[in-house]
Amino acid sequence: MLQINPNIINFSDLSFIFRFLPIFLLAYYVLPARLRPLILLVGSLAFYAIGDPMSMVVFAAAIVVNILFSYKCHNKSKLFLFLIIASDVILLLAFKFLVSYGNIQTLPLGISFFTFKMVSYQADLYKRKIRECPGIIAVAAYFAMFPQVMSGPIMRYSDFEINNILSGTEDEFMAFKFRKRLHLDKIEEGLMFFTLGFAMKALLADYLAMMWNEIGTIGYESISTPLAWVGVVCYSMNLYFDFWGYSLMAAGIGVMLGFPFVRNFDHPYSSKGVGEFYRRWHMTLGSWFRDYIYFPMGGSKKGKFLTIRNLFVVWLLTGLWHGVTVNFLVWAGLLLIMIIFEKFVWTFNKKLLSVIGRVHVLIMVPITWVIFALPVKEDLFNYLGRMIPVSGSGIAVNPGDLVKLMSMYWPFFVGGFIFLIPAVYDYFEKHRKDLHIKVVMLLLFWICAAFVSTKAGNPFLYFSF
Amino acid sequence: MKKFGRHFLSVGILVVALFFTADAALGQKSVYDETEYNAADAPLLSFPLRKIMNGEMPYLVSLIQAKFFGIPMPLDDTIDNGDEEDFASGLSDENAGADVNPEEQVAEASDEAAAPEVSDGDAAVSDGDAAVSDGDAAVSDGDAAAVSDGDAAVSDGNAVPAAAEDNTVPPEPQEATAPEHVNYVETAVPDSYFDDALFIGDSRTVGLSEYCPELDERATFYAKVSLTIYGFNKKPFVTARVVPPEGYEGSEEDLPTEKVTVEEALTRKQFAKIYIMLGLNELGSGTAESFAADYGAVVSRIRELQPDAIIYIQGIMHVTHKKSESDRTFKNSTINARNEALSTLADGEHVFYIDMNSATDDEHGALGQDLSFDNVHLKAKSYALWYDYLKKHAYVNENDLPQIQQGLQQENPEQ
Repeated sequence: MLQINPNIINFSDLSFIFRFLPIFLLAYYVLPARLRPLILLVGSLAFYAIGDPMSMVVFAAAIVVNILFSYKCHNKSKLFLFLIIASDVILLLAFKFLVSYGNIQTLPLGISFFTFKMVSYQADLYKRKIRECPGIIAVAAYFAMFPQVMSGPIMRYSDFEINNILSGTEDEFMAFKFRKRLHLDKIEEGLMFFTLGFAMKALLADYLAMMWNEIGTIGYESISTPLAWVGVVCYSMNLYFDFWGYSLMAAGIGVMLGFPFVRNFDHPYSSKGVGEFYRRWHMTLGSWFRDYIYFPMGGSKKGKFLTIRNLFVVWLLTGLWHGVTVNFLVWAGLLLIMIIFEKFVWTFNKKLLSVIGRVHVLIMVPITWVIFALPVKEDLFNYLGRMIPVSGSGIAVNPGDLVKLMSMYWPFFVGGFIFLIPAVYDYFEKHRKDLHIKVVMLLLFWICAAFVSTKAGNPFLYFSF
Repeated sequence: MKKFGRHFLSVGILVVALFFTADAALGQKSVYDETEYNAADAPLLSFPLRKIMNGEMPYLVSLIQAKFFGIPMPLDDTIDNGDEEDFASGLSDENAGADVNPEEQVAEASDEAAAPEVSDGDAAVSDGDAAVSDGDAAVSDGDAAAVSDGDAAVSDGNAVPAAAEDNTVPPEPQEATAPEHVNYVETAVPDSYFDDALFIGDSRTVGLSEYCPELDERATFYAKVSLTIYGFNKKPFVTARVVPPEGYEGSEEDLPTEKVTVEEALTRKQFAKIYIMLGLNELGSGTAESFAADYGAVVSRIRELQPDAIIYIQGIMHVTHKKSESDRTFKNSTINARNEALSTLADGEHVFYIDMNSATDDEHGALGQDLSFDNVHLKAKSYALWYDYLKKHAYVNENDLPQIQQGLQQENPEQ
């Protein structure tokens, strides 16, 4: 029996980059063009089966049921739309509760994302945003596609169907020479984004995560107050670069396959308020809530009271989507309060609003990430208690802890701050076809690969105590 | 130019990937471990990448250097397990010359245990520092009158690592010369007991130094993240004053410092108690027997360097039940087997075995889940349990007991 490294589903793992991805790309581009949707489907199912074989049944069943119902939705049957959306949502919530009550260990791989794709697909069919009912294989490939199955981005079907390479219409009748160049163009373009994401993940996020883990190892009740505050920055940047990096890698793989680049982050920390922050952070999730919850309920067009109600519903669901433990509801609740105040209270003074907005984004949002990070109540109270040490000086605190950790991890903070500057990414995006940027990216790619190699397949080096 | 740059990144990645893969394939059995190709492992090209991360050259590059520039290839390369295989012999290089069967040597040495060793032992003890710092060489040189006896003593010294492999307690040169038999008893001790103590260990001992200020301000720590028993004479990380040149008259404080190995540092400063906790990072390699043998070799080397110290071998602290259940390497059953083997190294005379796990174990015989965040290390607040254990389980000379009692009284007057 052939054993396959389960890490192969991790985009920043060498097994994915040097095994799965090249084999898949070869099959995708060398085999006949009309087979591409099928290859994408088969490759994605294989990807899922390696990543989470136990949940394969749930995943496959969700795909089949959604395809069956989709014909009814296309016929404008409100009942069937309601039924299928309800079952997708119940499926998601059921697993979230099962996990939080400890009945099962982990969620099925990517369930939060593929169920949301399914709901958007059914709603778009119903609203005739998707005109013709697509073929079974194409839809299944859309639900299952491996670049997005784990953690998004939540791409709409409209972005899926405009891929003329997937459908073969763009290059079917091209001469081999031009076809080859087109394919290489796509791969090159995708690799640029992939490499940038790879660097964020492997060179920044993974190391910031190690520092955050070291803070936990000390114990939240025993960290010094300065470390508690730096820890907030550490975790916030870890989360940002982990997710942005992942999103860039996922979008980059999509581009390699001919899909449009899906933007998921747009410099959220340069926002002028929390509301704007969440239009620029995990954008595909935000726009999903906007298009399928907020707007259908009336958005902000029906007066103050209904706007607040709609925002409340959206943020309640956002909290639940992240997890059904209390900390996520507190996290979402705090954000909601800040958004409502930004929208209705601080507006009397433009100056005040802009100052408070920045404070929200640069100080309050990072603090909300700590609430997001710590599901256990005692941990959260201990951590907040060390940030604002009103209730005593902590247990076994070593005042030198910050200096010690920063002497090891400062380069990752510097790197993080550099990537927080919007101009850095914008320069990359604008000049990504220039040779000098490509040389930098090639170097960066191999530096990342070298860093990752010390962890891959050799947990011993990674976890040395 | 435009054409060249058009697919620069994709082609560049492809070419370099092919190069590294070829490098890994060609360099097998020479600079890389021999491995059977397995899809469950990392791709081949991770071998040269890891090599680069270690600050070394990939195989093909060093081959080219050797062929065209005459830079020799590093063939005695540190393939991980290489470390342990020749470790025991590495500790005392001089036995490389002795072509006598080690077992015979042991027998010989123990047969002659009485007469020749006495004088040899004397030399080592009375010569003090000189003998200690020069190691075995000083032993044979120091006793010029008894050259043949000296030789016997040397071969005895050499036999120590070999003997340790059979888990027998290394013969103690001092034993015979000790004026009277010293009786050590287990007792509780005051903080001041640790004034002249040294702690050698990995990240867990680092944690002890960071989160146990009472201990840190008294004791010395030669501890480093990921330290192993094999790093004892290999990893230079201890900050020590350089050895002053002959006739140096300035104060010791003016000497510059340098990074030296634990072994080297022990030649420069004497301690009364030496606590060792190592073995966690070694769990993935070797067996309990090979580990204990190498450990024993280190302990006897420390005995040579620090003849007046008592050595505490601390059993390896457990990992949590959760970790032990889910990890291939870090299992409490493995830790227990190794601790069992370590405990046989104690002689109740100069080397003692203590096991602090009783202070931190839960009902599974594992590190308590609430004491640890990462399932391996104690949380800051939990280190007090370890220190408490050490304070309650110390060995002291029977004759010093009243003094210790007095110290305890002063520390806790209410008792």
